[in-house]
Amino acid sequence: MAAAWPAPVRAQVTEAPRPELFPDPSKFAYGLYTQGELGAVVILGPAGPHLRPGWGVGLAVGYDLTHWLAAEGRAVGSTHTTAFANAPQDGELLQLYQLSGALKLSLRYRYLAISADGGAGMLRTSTNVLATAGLNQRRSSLLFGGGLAFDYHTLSRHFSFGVHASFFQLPSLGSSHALVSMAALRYAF
Amino acid sequence: MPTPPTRPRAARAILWTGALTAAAGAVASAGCHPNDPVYFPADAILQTDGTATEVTETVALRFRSPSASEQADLDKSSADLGYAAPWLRQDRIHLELRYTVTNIGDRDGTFSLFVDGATEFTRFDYQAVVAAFATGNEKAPPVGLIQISNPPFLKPGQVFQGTVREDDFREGSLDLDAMGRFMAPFVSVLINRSEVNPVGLEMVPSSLTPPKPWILPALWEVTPRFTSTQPMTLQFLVRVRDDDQRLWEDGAAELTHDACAAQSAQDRCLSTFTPVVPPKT
Repeated sequence: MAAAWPAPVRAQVTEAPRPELFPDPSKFAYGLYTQGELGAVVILGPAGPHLRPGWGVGLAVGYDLTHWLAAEGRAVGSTHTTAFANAPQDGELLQLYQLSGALKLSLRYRYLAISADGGAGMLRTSTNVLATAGLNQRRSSLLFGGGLAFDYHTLSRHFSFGVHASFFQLPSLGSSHALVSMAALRYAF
Repeated sequence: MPTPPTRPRAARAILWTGALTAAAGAVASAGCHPNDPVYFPADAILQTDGTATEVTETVALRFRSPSASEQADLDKSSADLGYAAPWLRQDRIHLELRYTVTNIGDRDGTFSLFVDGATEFTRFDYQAVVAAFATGNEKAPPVGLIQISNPPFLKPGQVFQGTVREDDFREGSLDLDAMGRFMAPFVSVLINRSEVNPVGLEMVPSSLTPPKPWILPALWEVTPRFTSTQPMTLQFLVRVRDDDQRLWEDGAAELTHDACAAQSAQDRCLSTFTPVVPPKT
């Protein structure tokens, strides 16, 4: 009779359970995301003295391929005033339009994420006023570079916000550089 | 207890995608907005020697010719108006001139700056004016299509920056068209601002009974005339807003604007126009 019943099995706790991570980044939404940005664009290098820093707005659309790798497309528009001392080009408004694609690596811990990205794209100036001063030959030119971002995820699955700084090389704009500093609000679907 | 309604994920995605598409469209259209000006610099810095000698420089803008259908529309407009309708309309092509004058002499001095030009119908050529007056043993009055009023005295090394505005160019187009096509008297229209004193504009279409619309032609050629009492330099830039995208070029450096005649027969620079010559006294 006793052989018909298996011996009772009892679970044994051999170590203390790991503390639950809160918030757990794996519970955040991943996949398609969009990001709105607002900040400043500063041109450095040869064109820097001739373009005053301007405010910019940006829009990024990306997709989280994994929890740590994303592909992103980004558009940034900024408006600047020209500075050409004692020349008729002085004081004109000029907009810069950047369109770029990037790969982004992220390291996440609880609320926080630190990201680094690198990519390339196009820069277009709204007018040819820089060309009249010999600073560029074409209104459209290549740009490439990278950036760093710091994000804080809210307790919502979808929303995070942070800051994003990028540094781009602008070879056709007199080999100048663009420093793009943005505050960003991100929504993951 | 029923669960509260939630917005489906797909609907939310559609909403966001629509908003993003609209935003991307706005960014893209901003990149090629017709209101973005195109700048045409002078080929050289004009320099005076401080005598009465005038120096000039012409910037000729190039526009595409009308297509067959556009030409048909233009012909119809001309028939309706009773006079030749311009292809390059002043209310669609807006010019501005930005200039910088620098006193490079060693004493205080002042300058005078006139801006002449041409529409597709008429050119204001001050040398022709001088020649016409000379045949009557008279000295031509110091006039131009546009005149910079009250130029300041500049100290040695001092720089003056100014703008000839779009409304000044409108007045210049109006005066030139009135003189060239509608028999306006030579000096009176030039020295009077039309909205203040429309003297001389009795024969223009808007003054007829019944009045007709007066479609002004735009200047496509801009010629500053510069002189000064001390050695000075003039740098200038013509700024063009082209509502209908009829400019031949986008102002990029690889497309030079100074080779009108070398371009194809499509080039609007090859248009013929009649110089304005004042009536002999």
